[in-house]
Amino acid sequence: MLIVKDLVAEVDGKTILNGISLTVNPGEVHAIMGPNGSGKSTLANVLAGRDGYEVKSGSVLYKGHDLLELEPEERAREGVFLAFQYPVEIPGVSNMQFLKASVDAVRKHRNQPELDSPAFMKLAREKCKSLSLNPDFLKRGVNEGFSGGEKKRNEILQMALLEPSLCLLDETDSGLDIDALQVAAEGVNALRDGQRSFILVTHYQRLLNYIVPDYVHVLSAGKIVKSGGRELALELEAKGYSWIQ
Amino acid sequence: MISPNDWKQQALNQQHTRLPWLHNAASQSAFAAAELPTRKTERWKYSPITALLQQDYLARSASATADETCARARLADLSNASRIVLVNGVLNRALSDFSDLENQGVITLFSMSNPEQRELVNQHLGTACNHSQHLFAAFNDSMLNEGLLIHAPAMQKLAQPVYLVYLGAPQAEPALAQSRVLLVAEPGAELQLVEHFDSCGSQANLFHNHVTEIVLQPNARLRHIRVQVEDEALVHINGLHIQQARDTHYEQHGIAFGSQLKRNDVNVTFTGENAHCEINGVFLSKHRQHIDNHLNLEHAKPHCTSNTSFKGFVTDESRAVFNGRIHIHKDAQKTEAHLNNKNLLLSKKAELNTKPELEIYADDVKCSHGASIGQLDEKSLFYFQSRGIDKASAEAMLCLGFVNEKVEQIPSPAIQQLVADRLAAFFNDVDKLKSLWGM
Ligand SMILES: Nc1ncnc2c1ncn2[C@@H]1O[C@H](COP(=O)(O)OP(=O)(O)O)[C@@H](O)[C@H]1O
Ligand SMILES: [Mg+2]
Repeated sequence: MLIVKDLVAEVDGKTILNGISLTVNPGEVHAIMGPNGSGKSTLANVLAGRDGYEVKSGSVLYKGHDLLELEPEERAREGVFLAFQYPVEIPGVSNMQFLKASVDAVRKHRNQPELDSPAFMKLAREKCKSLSLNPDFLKRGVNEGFSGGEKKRNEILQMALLEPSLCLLDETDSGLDIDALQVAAEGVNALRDGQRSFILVTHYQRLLNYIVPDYVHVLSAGKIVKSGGRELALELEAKGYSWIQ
Repeated sequence: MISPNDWKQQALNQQHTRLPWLHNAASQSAFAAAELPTRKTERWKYSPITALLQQDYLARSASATADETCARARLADLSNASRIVLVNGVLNRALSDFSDLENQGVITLFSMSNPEQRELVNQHLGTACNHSQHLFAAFNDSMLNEGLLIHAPAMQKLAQPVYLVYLGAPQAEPALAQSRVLLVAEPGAELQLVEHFDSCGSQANLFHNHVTEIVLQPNARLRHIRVQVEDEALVHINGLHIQQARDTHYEQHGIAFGSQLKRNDVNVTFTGENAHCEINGVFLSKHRQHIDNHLNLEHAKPHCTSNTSFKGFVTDESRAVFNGRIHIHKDAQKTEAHLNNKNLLLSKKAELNTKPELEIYADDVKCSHGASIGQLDEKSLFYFQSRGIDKASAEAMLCLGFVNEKVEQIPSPAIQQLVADRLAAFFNDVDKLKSLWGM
């Protein structure tokens, strides 16, 4: 699914990712943990194609193709999905319009028939319900005035609608209380189908109680300094990050 | 092109059949005394009236015939409203539907008014507007031979909105259209007014000079929607003058497209305590349009509040001006006044001048003012793109979203629909978005 090799990336001339290698096979769940500022969001953003991150060396193969060649929207259409750490508020564009435009673009690219408005509406309502979101929330501006939990669940909602192959979740757990966390985790687990892959970026291991990863990697100063199984997360929780750096 | 002075002389020499019963006979001299906008006039600094001087608009009055099919297609679907349609300033009965309110004496043409109504007109006309500063209002006054009186009776809530449509029809040669509205809301009256400025066909030969005066007597409430979506070739100068007595409530939602020259003056004066004014607007200009918004809030009495919020969308080679002045007089203690103007400037060749002004002579007040000019937000664009939406469509959606935030506040679904349709057409033809707009 994804092969990252010796990835080095800069922001404003400052090296943030310092030689990252990571292989994610179909159906796998990888957790990336690490202290604040270690480069977790940067990695997620580089994979999603955000401007301002300059890849200096290394490569990223996604489904056998060079991912770094693609525009962000092309990556999304090809099935890469980034759930933002800080989802953006867009007043004046309704969540419904936004979701529809996004699903239309992705389906068109995949040669799937366009969903007409009623069909889309129905689908979006169902997904809302499964994420305990009030359907009224589709009429509101994108993330406008949403609580932290609502914003994160909105990301999961988008993910559910777009049916990506590779899901990057950047601190989807932060700012969620335990109930909201469970709902979000259920939303993610519902998408696990043995083919779809996940990279969970998180600072705390709490999320991993609900979404059980196959692998855990520890990122520090832009490098993966340790990899292991699920137990590594528990160890990190008990000992903190300092023993690893 | 003639000089501004010659233009004024020509305007003063117009043959005019002013309504004989109008008392404020000083109007001709008021017009003569009014200051002519030149490059040195602060209030017109960024809006030269060149467009007005290039064609001989004063040569004739615009004809009042409109293509009926086109005219009907312009109307908003306000089924229960009392509709008054003016074509180039002249009432068109066939397109209008307001007999209920006409029979009740709530709406009347000046020319058909009864003695009581005439007295009302004479009592209020021109009182909300300082003619020496508003040359075009003075000009409007000086030639006044018709107008519309809306008289909301005391303690009554008008169930139907009053829907005024000002339609411009194409002219073979340069021509002038003037229109005038006086709204008097008696104590405790409550109503909704929709003013919709629109056109059928090119307005290349039209100069529309309009004045609306609003007098709110104690405890009156008015909701006012203003939509200006005319053809871009038009020259339109518009004065809106509002007087608010004690405990009145005025709320405005407006949208205005730019044109060859468009000037909107909004002037609010508090003449009593405890009054509240809320003004929400958005202006858009593209191509080589010009739009100038001048707001002036005279807080002359204590305990009044005003909240003014404007957005501007400026692109291509257009020019836009926003000037919002809050003037808090010495006695106006406990005033609360806020004003802001947020703009999206999309093109390097476009120009925007925004200037919020705060003049405070009282010491116990709460005020804020601010303006900002920005481009499309990079984070928002990436958010769209990361969801598979191409950059061009993302830009288009963000622009529409920027404007929509104001449109959503218009308290009328029918007008929201009308505005949405017109906005789609507007954006469809923005040079910068032309190749991009895929909706
Ligand atoms: N857009 C940016 N401009 C400048 N520095 C940045 C930017 N994004 C991230 N950084 C820097 O990169 C480092 C890693 O940040 P980030 O990837 O957000 O870490 P994490 O998500 O692990 O907390 C930090 O030192 C941060 O300050
Ligand atoms: Mg982060």
